[in-house]
Amino acid sequence: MRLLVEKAGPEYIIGGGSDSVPLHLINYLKPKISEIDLLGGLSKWTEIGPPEQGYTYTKINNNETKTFWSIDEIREYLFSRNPDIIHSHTPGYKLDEYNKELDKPYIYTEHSMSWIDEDNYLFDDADLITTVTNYAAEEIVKKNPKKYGKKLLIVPNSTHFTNYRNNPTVINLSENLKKYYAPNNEKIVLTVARLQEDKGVFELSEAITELIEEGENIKFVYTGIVPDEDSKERMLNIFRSKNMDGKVVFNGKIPEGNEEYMAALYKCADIFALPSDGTFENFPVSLLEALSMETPSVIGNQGGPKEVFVDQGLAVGVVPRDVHSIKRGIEFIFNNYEQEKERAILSSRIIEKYYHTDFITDIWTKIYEKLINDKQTVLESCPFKEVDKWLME
Amino acid sequence: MIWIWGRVRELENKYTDLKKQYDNLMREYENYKNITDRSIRDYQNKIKRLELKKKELEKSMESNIIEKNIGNVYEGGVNYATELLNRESNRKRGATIDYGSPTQFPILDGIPTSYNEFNLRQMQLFDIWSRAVDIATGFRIQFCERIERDIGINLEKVKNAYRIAGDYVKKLLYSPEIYNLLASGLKPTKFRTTMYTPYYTSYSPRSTGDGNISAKNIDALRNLCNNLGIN
Repeated sequence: MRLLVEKAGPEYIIGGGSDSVPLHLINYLKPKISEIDLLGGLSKWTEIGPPEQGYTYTKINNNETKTFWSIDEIREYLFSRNPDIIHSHTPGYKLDEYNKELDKPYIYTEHSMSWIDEDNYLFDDADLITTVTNYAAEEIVKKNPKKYGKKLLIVPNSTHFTNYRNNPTVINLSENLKKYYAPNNEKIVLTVARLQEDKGVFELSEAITELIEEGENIKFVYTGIVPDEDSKERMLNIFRSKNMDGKVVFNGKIPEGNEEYMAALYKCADIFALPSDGTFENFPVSLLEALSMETPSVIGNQGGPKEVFVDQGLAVGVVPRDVHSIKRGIEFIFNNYEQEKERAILSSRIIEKYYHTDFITDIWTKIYEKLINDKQTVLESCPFKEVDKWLME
Repeated sequence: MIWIWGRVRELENKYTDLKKQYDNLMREYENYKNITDRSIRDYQNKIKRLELKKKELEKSMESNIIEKNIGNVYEGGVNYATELLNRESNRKRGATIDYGSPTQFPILDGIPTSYNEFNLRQMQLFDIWSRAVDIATGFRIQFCERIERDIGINLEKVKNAYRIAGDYVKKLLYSPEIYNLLASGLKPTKFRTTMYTPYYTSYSPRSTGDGNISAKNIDALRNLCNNLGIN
C-alpha cells in the first residue's frame, strides 16, 4: 500500500496541529505500511506562491525529499507517484482538486474548529471525513446532516510522550531545568501555545501576576511560536508593569524533533495551563503531552477540550480567557496538589492506553485497508461517531 | 622585365608599409594596454570602496534586518487574515479593494524572509538582471580572448577584473537602495502566503462564564480507570 499523507508545513517543519499530528502518526505508521509519501507546504495559504522552504515531497521509507517551487511541478510529480490512498490533514483548493483527479480513496481530517466554516468543498469531495472530537463532528454534521453524517468518523489525536515518562535522560534534564528556572523553589506554571489571543496566554499572565501579588511563589514559563514582537512585548509588559520581570521565562519555539527537551519541560512544570477560547482549539496535543508527563493541567472548559479532558476528569476546566477563573483553577491545583497529581498520573495511564500513537495508528491502518478494499461499502455503512463498531464490521 | 633595383624598391616600399602597420599595431596595443590597466585599477579601487561601503551598511543594518525578517516570517499570517477580513467587508460594501503598500525588507545574503509574491517578483527580477550581466560580461571576455588570440598577449587579469565587476554589479540589486527603487516601481500584490494559520482577530470567545472552575470528582476518574482495567 502506498499512502500519501498531506500536511500544512513543508517537510518536517511544525507550524501547528495539522503538522505535528501527521508527523507523529507517520513515525508509527512506518513499520505498519509498506510505503508512505509525505506532501508538505501545499495548502490554501500557499497556492499563490510556495512557502519559504518550497513545496516538499518526501518518500519516508527512502528518507528522500524533493523540493518544488511551482505548483505544476509538484502536481506532475504527485501524479507520477500514483498513491493507493490519500490522507490529507490540511485544507487547500488545489490540493482537493488533485486528490479528486487522482481518483483514489481520499480522507480529509479536520483539525481546527474555525476551518469548519470554510471547508465545505473538502467535506463534499472527500470519501471519508474524520475529525478529532465529537464536538467538532457535530459541528460538521450540522452543516449538512444527510451528506456529511454518512461519511464522518471521529479518530482522536494521539501522543507518544508517555514513552518519555521514565526516560532517565528526560528525568535528569527536567531536574536541571527545574533548578535553572526555579532557583528559589518557585512553582512552575508552564504554557506551550502560539502567542495569540485565542490561546488565552495574556489572561493567564494576568492571573499569575495576581497570584504572585497574593503571595504565591510562582515562575511562569512560556514556550511557543511567537508571531510578532508586539505580542511578546504585550505579554512581558504584564509582568514588567508589576515589577515582576524575574517571574517570567520567555522561550520561543522549541526546534522540531527536540522531543526530549519538550518532555523534560512538561515534566519540570508543577502546572500546565492552556485557557484557550476555542477559536481554533479542537483537541490540544500540548495538553495530551503535558498529561502524559504527569503534570496537573488547567484547560479552557469549552468545546473539544471540555469533552475530552474536563468531562472525563483528566484536567481542571476553567472559563476560557477569564482571569478570575484561571486564577481559581491554578489555586485549586496548588491547594489540592496530591489529589491533582494523582489525577494527572491516572490521566497519563489512560493516555498511554487509549491515546497512544501506536494504538491510534492501528485504527488508521484498519481504516486505510477497509477503504482500499471496499470503498463503496464503506461509504454506505460509515456511521457518524462509532469508529469502534465500524471497524468491527 | 623588372630590374633588380625596381625589385629592391618594391621590397623597400613593402617593408615600410609593414613597418607602419606594425607601428600602428604596437601603438594600438600600448593604448589598449594602458586603457585596460587603468580600468583594472579603477575597478579594483571602485570595488574596494564599494565593499567598504557595503560592509558599513551591512553592519549598521544587520541587527535591524535580521529582526525584521524573522518578524516577517510570522507577520504574513496576521496580514493575510486582515486582508481577508478587509476583502470580505469591502466586497459587502461593493468598494474597490486596496491591498496596502509593501513593507517587506530586501533579502540579504542568506537571511530568510516571509515568502510572498512581492519577494518572488524581486527574485525574478534578480534572475533577469543576473543573466543580463552575465551576457554582457561574457561578450567582454570573448573580446579579450580575441585580442589574446590575434596579438598573443595574456589578458587573464583583465578577464578576471570583468568577472569580479560582473559579480559586483549583480549583487548591487540586493542593496536596500536599489530594492527600494524597484519596490516603488512595483505594484503591491494581492496575496501574501504563509504556512502559519491566520488568526481571525474578529472572533470572540465561544463561551462566557461566571468565573467558576470545573473539576470532576477524582473518584469518578479512579472508577473509570478500574473499568478500563488500568491500575
